[in-house]
Amino acid sequence: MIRRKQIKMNAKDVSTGNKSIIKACLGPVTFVVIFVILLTMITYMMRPSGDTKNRFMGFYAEPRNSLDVIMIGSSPTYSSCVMPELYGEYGIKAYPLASNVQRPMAGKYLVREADKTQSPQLYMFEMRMYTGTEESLTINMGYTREVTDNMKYSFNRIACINAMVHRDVNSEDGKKYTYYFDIFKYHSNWISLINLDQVTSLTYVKKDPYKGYKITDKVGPVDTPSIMTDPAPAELDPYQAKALYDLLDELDRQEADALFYLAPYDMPPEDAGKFETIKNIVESRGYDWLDMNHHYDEIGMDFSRDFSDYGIHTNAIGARKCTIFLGEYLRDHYDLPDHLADDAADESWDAAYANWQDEYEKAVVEIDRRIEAGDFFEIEE
Amino acid sequence: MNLTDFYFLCAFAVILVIYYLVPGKCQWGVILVSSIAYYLLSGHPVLILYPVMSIVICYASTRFITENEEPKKKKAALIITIILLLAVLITLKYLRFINVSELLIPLGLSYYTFTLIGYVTDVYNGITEPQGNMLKLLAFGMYFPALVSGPIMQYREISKTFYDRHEFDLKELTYGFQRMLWGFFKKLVIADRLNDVVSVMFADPNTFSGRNVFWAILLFTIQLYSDFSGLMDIVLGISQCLGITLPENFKLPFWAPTVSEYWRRWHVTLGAWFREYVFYPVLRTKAFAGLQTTLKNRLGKKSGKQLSTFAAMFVLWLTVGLWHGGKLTYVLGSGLLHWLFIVLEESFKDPFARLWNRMKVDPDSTWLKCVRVVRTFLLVNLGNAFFRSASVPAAFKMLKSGFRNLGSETIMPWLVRNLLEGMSERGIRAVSDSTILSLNYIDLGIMTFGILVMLVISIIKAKTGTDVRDRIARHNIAFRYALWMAFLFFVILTANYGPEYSSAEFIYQGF
Repeated sequence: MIRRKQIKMNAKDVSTGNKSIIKACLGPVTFVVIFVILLTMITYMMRPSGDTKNRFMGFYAEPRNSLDVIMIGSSPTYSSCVMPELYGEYGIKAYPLASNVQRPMAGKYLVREADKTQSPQLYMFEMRMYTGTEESLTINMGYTREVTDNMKYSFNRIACINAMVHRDVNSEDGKKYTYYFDIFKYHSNWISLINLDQVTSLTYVKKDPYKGYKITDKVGPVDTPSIMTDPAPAELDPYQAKALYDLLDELDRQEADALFYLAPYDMPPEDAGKFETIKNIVESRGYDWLDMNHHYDEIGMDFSRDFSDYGIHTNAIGARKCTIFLGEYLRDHYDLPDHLADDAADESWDAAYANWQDEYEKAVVEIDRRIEAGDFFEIEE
Repeated sequence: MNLTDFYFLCAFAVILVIYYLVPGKCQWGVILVSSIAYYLLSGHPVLILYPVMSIVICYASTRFITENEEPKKKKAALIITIILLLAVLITLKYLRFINVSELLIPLGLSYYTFTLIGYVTDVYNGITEPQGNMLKLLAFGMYFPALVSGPIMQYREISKTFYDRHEFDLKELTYGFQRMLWGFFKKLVIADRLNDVVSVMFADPNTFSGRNVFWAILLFTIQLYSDFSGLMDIVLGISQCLGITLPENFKLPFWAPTVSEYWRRWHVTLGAWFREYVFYPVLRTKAFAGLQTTLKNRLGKKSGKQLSTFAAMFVLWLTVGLWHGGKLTYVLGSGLLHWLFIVLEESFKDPFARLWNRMKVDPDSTWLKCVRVVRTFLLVNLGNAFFRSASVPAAFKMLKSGFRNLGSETIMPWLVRNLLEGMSERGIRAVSDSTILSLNYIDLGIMTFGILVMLVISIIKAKTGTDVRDRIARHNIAFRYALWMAFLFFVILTANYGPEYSSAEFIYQGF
């Protein structure tokens, strides 16, 4: 009897002890949890404002499984295709996960990022950066940070950093941990919180009124480039070649459909051979290839009017032409849904299209004025 | 590797987990392995041989001292050990002064040498038992948080708890982290910002004249304090997390009414070490005993004793100055000038006491205490002017320029005016883009706020004598958490770290 009582008492002691340990730990654990949540929010707010941040936040704000096409690549992705126009004219909801001089290595991880919330019927990859050397693509780590520092915190983001910030990167932009924890880079940016837009980015979810497109009314004319029709394949930089194969493997794994394309630009002759190589690789794996530079007449490209910076990026007029071409191409080659035929109205996309139409009208007037005045884009030294 | 490095903090988190998971009797082993790893990662790995060899010598020497009965042999062992340790210290310090690569100088050379000399001397004097386990002695001598900048540890005190089992104590852990945070605040928010201003002003003192010179000196004094005491807060915080209590190195030094008191509050462990192992032994030497007798016979008992003490103090302060560096600026700025101040204080003590008596002024009155505190602070600043200057003539020139153009406008009203103008005309963004003395106005605002916070905390501490952490701990959990969270984020957001910054080295790391 006494023994049973003792066992009972011991059990009671253990239970009380456990409770007190739990009670003691509860406070610090709560503190740490609150700290992590606040740190994440504050980091999101501190990340530099700009079109890339808006584009990525806009992507996260799109309803689950609502996008038909996801476009991945560097600046031509969001400057040569007007997503609101693609929706307004062809009923296709496309969204770019694109950033300035986006390194090809990001492709695979952005596909995975997209796959978390979306099931697009088609991925489109703008391939201009695949001809770059790793050295040229890492000379400014902003090219990497625009991707990694605009992704939400996740294991995929960590994997993306591991791949992009490798040993061969000659980074003057700090150590690897500053990529994992970007507060190390942006903590002094707290003064930007006077801007309400920054404060509202605390969850990194905010609709982008342009759906990722970046409009410009600047003009930088250039002579119409002559395109090599049958270039000899040239070797890719090993890093970009690996990035391409990794991406193709990822697409295979996801059984996703993809279109690899090139937006119109003043292509350096030495790149033509590299694109030939890329085309061969992509097509050998069963994916489509589209070089819009072979379709200037169909698109109606006018190099004296349609580019903002001398053959690198299209302005609003050039972008609209490219979008119409792409819209027709997608309609002809892929079985994408036409959301214009949907019964349910999509207010944010409708608003984006209306917004784009207004801005386009203004941009056309401004572009013509600039051409008339010889007010051309000045390249920063 | 610096104590403020991200990688160090990650490593420390791992060390903490392992430290409390291993059996208590193995905890010192975790410290030893961590210390060796820290040393190997912080500089040229081969340099670890210096502290290891020094500790091996001390281990052998103390064994010899305890196992040997003959006093002469014991004394010889002590002297040989001290000479060996000092020879390495002096040789390497001398090499540093003639600009031999820093790579040749082992980390924490002065600190571990002094710690070990103290240990061997204490064993010789029978004050402490020698450590029988060489690895345990290695763990003590290379204790990683204190290795680089102290505090200088006394084995007889630390060993009481150093090798004990340290139970996990949430309160101690929390207090340790809080103290570390306070240290980061002082170092990364205040000292590193002050460093930007002070470096500019001392680099070209001719550009800044009038009262600006005195601003520069004052700001350097605050920088030195926030840098060094910040580092000590981090070191003591880390130790508290590990359950190890280290001696305090700062006890509100700027509240000291006299310079001698100041030195009992500033770099306390260094002062105590020099008093115990330099000053008193010097006083006990035959030469000084003889000098004291001669002076007593000639000048009377009181004056004779005082003068001989001043002479011993001269040796003490000369050594303190030399410890800081071989340059004359250090010898004067942190040594002999302070000796002079103390000599003057002692010499004028009685005349002033008589004066106060005649004037019917209470010598313990608050206002007189305030005057003394201010006077001491100004004298310390004067010493720091030499300490920070490129050379002694440069320091004199700077001070002369300050007094000559005393009436000229100082930067402070100019800064305030520009700040207000900037805010009204161009908004805060424009203000943050404008820079003065390599800091923008926002930085200046943060720096000023930081200094004020530091001042308020020190006033609370001086007035109540309590630990601010204890005062905060008395409040309810919501208040406490909100306060610490706010402070944590204040440090995270306003501290100088990351790719945009290159954090200044801890000033006392160089000594």
